[in-house]
Amino acid sequence: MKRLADLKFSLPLLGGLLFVAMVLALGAGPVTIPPGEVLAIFKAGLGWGEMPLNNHFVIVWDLRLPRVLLAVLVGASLALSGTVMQGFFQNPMADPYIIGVSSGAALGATIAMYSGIEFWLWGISAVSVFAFIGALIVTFLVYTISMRGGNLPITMVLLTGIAIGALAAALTSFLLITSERDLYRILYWLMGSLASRRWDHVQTILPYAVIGLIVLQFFARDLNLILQGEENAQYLGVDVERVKRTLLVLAALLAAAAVAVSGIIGFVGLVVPHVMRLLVGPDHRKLFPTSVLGGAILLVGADVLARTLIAPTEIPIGIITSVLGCPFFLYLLSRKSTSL
Amino acid sequence: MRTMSGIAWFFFLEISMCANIAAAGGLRATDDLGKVLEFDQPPQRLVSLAPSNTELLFALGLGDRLVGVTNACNFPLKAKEVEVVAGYSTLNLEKIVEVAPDLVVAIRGNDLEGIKGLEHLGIKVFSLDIQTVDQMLLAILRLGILTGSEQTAEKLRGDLQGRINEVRERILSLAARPKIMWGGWSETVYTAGKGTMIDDLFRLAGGVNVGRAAMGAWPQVGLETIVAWEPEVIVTTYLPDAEGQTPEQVIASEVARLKQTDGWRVLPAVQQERIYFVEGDWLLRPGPRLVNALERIASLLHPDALGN
Repeated sequence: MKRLADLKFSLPLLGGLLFVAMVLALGAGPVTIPPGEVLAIFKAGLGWGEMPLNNHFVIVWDLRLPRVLLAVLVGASLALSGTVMQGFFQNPMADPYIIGVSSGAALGATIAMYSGIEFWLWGISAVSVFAFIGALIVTFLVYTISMRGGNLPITMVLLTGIAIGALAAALTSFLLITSERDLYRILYWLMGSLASRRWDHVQTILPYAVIGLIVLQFFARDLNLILQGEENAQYLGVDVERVKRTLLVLAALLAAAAVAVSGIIGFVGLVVPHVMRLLVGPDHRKLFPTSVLGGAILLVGADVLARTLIAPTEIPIGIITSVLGCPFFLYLLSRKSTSL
Repeated sequence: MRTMSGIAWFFFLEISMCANIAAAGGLRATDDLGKVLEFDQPPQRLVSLAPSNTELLFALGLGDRLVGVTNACNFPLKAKEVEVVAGYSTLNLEKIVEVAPDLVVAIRGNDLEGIKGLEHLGIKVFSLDIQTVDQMLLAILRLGILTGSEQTAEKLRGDLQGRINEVRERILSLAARPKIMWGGWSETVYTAGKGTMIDDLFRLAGGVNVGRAAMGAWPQVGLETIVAWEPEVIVTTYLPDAEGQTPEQVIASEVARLKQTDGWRVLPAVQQERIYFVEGDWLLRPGPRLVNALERIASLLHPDALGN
């Protein structure tokens, strides 16, 4: 366990695990395709071999590969967003959805489905677009309402987030009970899934994920200092309010983009940061990169189970992340003698 | 298994009901919760707690006895003139008591607590649980017996059965059983599995419901699975709202887009442009218009033998 705290050891280890998980995920699905054929399809996809004539190429290259990459991006985004939120709020119960991203996204998506709005933007449905916009609007509201004279008091953000989140959830419930439309579609969306996602969805989330995942890494040291005391950090040359704003905006953006393409997937953003904290310690310079990899591994693994356990029926992935994550998390907690 | 024993039970019920009528001379039937209801005189004030029940009662010629319906009861048009006493999944006990019904016709999916509440107030509730076309035909007969309109019920059932037999005879000689899927093509795709009315209708219409392979009545499925299923026909009951466009025009533009979409474009149904809209009110309501849905789907599956 001790060695894990060393990034030179833990990063290659987690990276290796992620690679193995991705390879396994490409080979697994409701349609059985032997590993040799998957490899041949890959060669063909990269232009090194002959294209097979059956639908297996479509399944592996057009459907499974983007789905696995999407699991990596969504898992990494949610986990890093959760790590930032827990650090920012100094609260072990914080997760990416704490400032209303999920309730805003749910409201946006429900409005789109309720009113029958359908359009396609870069291959993404109106539901996704509305979810993204809903998440951003709610986050923006929380942000501006809790602003006090240019500062962002943490308790204010937390409570405003809870209040506006409850309002958005109430509106969503009202739409659900009055809707005569496709209730199952809304319910399945709210439970989160990567089923039927395509390259279009990877392209949509990619810019937000890449920017968020990379830029946030540079703020790990500042977050460490802020957690030791905002005044102290100010003396050490950290522009505290600017850093806090940046952290909040990027973390919210990561979560919003993830939710837009995958629906609301719980537990990843709550548990992965804790697991990583137990493994590598509280230093955010270690937590940030390891959370990215940990979240990706969890979601790639969970998605394999989601599409194979009772195939061809898909299980909403949030069910899997919770069932998988809970015992592992409890086990790690039991090894800890004191508090987090 | 459940369906099989259900059907057997229904046949038994039908025979025993007829026997009862002959013996007692009363109006007597057992509902799908196992309750026996009996009337000395035909009930004159009826409440329907589902659009399908409203359609069944109107088809039995009992429309003018209806004193309460749900806010979703939109067919036939006269149903809209009846007082609304229930919502999408809730019933308004006060309103129902106010219209003083002799008989409330409920359906599986209604709030059971609400039904218990009605019975507690001494109101007779007849609950239907219709999962197949045959069960719908039997429901017509049972409702007819209970309301003292057995002859109308027999005739209605005969007419509907005749139309079903017509479809059956035409597809009997055909070898093809095209693979058909119900559902949409948004990110969240779910379909109709075993035990749904849609599954029963697809079979009667001479198709194979690909959704049968999945677990659950309304299973969510991934695109990989749909590609492997290779559906030849896709039927949807939900369409995006588009002003001034017919369902056919909306479908045409959706098909054009699906032809450019990863995964979807390899499906036979997309390549052959065999994606169709069928009225949700026909297909999803366990009422007499199921037979309209059956005829329409059969003609979509077998355009040469049944097409218009």
